[in-house]
Amino acid sequence: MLWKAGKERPKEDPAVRAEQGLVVSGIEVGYHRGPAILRDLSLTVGAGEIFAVVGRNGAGKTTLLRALSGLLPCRRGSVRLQGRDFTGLSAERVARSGIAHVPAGRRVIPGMTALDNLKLGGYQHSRTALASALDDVLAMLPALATWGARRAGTLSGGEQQLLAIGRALMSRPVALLLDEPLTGLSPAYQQDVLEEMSKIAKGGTAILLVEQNVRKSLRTADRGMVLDEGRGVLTGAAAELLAADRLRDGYLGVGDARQA
Amino acid sequence: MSSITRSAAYRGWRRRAQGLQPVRGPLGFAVTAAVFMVALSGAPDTTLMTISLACVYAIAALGLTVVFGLAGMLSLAQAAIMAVGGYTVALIALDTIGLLPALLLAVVAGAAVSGLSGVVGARTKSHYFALATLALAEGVRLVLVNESSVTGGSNGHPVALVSLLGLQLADPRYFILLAVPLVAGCAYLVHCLRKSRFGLSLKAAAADEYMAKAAGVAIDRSRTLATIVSGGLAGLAGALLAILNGYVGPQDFGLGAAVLLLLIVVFGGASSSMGTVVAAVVLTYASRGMLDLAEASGLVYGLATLLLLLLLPGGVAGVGKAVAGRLGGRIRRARTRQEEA
Amino acid sequence: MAIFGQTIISAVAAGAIYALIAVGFSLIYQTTKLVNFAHGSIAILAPYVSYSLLKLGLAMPVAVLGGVLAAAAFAFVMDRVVLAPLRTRHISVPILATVAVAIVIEAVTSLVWGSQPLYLESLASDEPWRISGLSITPNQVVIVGITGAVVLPLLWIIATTKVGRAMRGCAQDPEVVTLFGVSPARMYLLSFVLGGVLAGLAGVLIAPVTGLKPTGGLELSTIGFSAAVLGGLGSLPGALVGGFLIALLINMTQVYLSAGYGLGVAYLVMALVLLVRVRGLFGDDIEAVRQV
Ligand SMILES: Nc1ncnc2c1ncn2[C@@H]1O[C@H](COP(=O)(O)OP(=O)(O)O)[C@@H](O)[C@H]1O
Ligand SMILES: [Mg+2]
Repeated sequence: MLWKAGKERPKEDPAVRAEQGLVVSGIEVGYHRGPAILRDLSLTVGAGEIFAVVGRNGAGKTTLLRALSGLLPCRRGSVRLQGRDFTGLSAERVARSGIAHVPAGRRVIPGMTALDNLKLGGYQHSRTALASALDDVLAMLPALATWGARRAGTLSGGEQQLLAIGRALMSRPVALLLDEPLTGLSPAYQQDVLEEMSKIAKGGTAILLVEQNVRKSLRTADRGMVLDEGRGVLTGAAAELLAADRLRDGYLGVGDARQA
Repeated sequence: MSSITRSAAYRGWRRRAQGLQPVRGPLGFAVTAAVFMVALSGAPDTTLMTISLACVYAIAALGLTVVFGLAGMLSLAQAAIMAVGGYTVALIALDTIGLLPALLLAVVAGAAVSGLSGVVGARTKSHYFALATLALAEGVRLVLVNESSVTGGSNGHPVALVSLLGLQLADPRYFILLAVPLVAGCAYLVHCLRKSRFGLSLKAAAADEYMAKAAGVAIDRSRTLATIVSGGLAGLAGALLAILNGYVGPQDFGLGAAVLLLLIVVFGGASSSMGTVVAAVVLTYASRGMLDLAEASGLVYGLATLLLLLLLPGGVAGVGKAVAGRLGGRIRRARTRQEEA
Repeated sequence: MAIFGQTIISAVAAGAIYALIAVGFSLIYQTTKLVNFAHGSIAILAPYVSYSLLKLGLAMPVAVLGGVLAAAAFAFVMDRVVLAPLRTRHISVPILATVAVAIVIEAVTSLVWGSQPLYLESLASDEPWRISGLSITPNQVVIVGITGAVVLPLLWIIATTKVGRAMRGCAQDPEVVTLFGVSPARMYLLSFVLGGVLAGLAGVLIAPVTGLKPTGGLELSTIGFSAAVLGGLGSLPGALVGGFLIALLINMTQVYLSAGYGLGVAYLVMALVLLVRVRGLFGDDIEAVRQV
């Protein structure tokens, strides 16, 4: 009972889990006045579930996360979290209402210490709530405590990724959005990050993982979606996706197969 | 479809135009300058004085386009560098060493002092450079005011009368005969710098310092060189101003003048020398008009600056581009409509 | 020796005022990455307003408070009206706008209050106490006391509270902090208002000492910048220390070397720091010169 303290653990019934998670229906998203990047995209991430969206460079994965966290407006469709409508909220409001976004490239604040970065993640909390959130995050990611006093800019890529995830957890999110957390990490560190993710999901958080590393992310995820040119072309259980012909032809090249 | 045909036509035009490249540039600047001088021959004295001042500011602003326009380094010292050039011709024996050596000396002095700021600018980010140039400008002013036995202090210093081919240069009528060709020459020089590898490296460094470094651009050297070139032109402009006025004083080279020069660059746009010259004429004319307002001039001037920054994001050149873009868009839309019909 | 001691005493009083300027300037820089060339001009706005309020017959403390509030209000309006719309442009555009604001303030003050120096009454008596050959005025004590009472709590708040962290985070990555529920626009505004309060305080404290003239704004700015750069741009404790050091250098130069070049030393220090050690005494090396 680490994450939503005081709330009961999600039921195993998928419908209930979905109701307590993130429901995206039919969104259309684009930049400024440009063409739509995402069209009629729908997905559901239940509480305690890891949902992986995989796709090539430029498929619209980052755009999807930016839209969900309020950095980009949705032109159509709706975003709901635990039944509450999030569509059209500003990024600050979304952040205070239960969605945490770990952006691509980690984006830790380089000039601040790791600990201050974590505390910044809990901006919305009162002093006491901040202290307890910090305790919980450090308990979950003990590595953070060991280099807490160092400035984030001096940490290695893997350490920065863990810090970015920890910082997002500081807000005690209902849904956690992760943008390519494995990029640029050594295989050992990739494994670490994936394991931490599973742990977090077990605590009841809905995790939306966006990745290019199809094999690794689908192995950890419960369900997933293949995103191509802004449309969800294939959705299903992660294991089924991994076995699907289309995915094998299009996304799991020889190189990737050998690596795995 | 339409964009493809357009770009093909454009490329053809470019190819033909490039054949003329070595002649076209200097010829263009020379013809413009000549037309300008003929048009001015009958103008009244006050207009000639304004044009003379505009030439001075245009030269200094052309220098500033290299540092501020291309390299994105905000310099508040350009007016102070002009002072260096002005005091150089004021303090040397102009009548014995002659006009050309005096101007050259002013260029060298301006380049050297400006290069000092370049040493800071090469290593640091833009806002540190702005502070360093403020320190340089105030330092120059302090020396000018304090060393009154040499510089005349806040009262300023007279400048010997000089003539060129028997024509008195303190008279705006004859001054422009020297200044307009110099403006054309400087405009062409900056035009060439902009197109050169040096100009490209400055632009690359301004856009993304780290990428530029990674691509092997010697940022430090380019930036220092930019301040030196810019300082040379400011020195020349200051010398010309001193000769025109027959006098130099610290009040002509204050923060107000520095901001006027920055504004000229902002509204001339970084991408065209002609834009800088036009902006110099317009803004000099406007700021001369404000002199009559005495104390209120600062107010009008500051507010005008703010309004221009807020309301005209792309400067004068930006307005041109926006209009062209909108027209182009309309034409393209009309064409596609025709094709569909 | 007595001259030396006396120089130190007046340097401490002047240093407190410069520190107020420098801390405000650095606070704005630390949050917005903007060099506010109008900072000293905002500072002299406060004593001008106080002067008029005194003329209207208000009591001294009310007039001083009114002046400080006016400076803060001006900073508020400046951020909303001038700087907020320029935030998406290249950083040199808003910086140029702050220079224009400085020119506007100078023009307005000389139009409204004239270009002749004005003199304000000190907050406390200038009748010196004599302590073992040195004289200290109650006003000097009040200046240092007010600075301490305002700056030290502020530094503590910025260093330890969530708002302080958010302000620091804003400058480095304004987009990412919105993901934690921070509104950068509000942080920018807050830093400007706090900076305005500090500048206004510095203004009302320095006006009785040096007199009040429209050109004093830029002078105060450059001293404040030098102090902030010496301490390390963006480091608030650095700005505090830098203020005292610059005052010491200026006063020493004026007493022992040349009266005219006191300010020159401030410029020289700024230039030297930028040349030799950009991050100053306590600045952030990651901030000053980033490596590839
Ligand atoms: N700031 C932006 N403005 C306009 N278009 C953008 C912007 N960012 C991304 N795009 C476009 O959106 C599409 C999807 O990009 P993105 O979501 O970043 O892809 P992914 O994260 O899957 O690699 C791309 O075609 C890209 O060109
Ligand atoms: Mg992406």
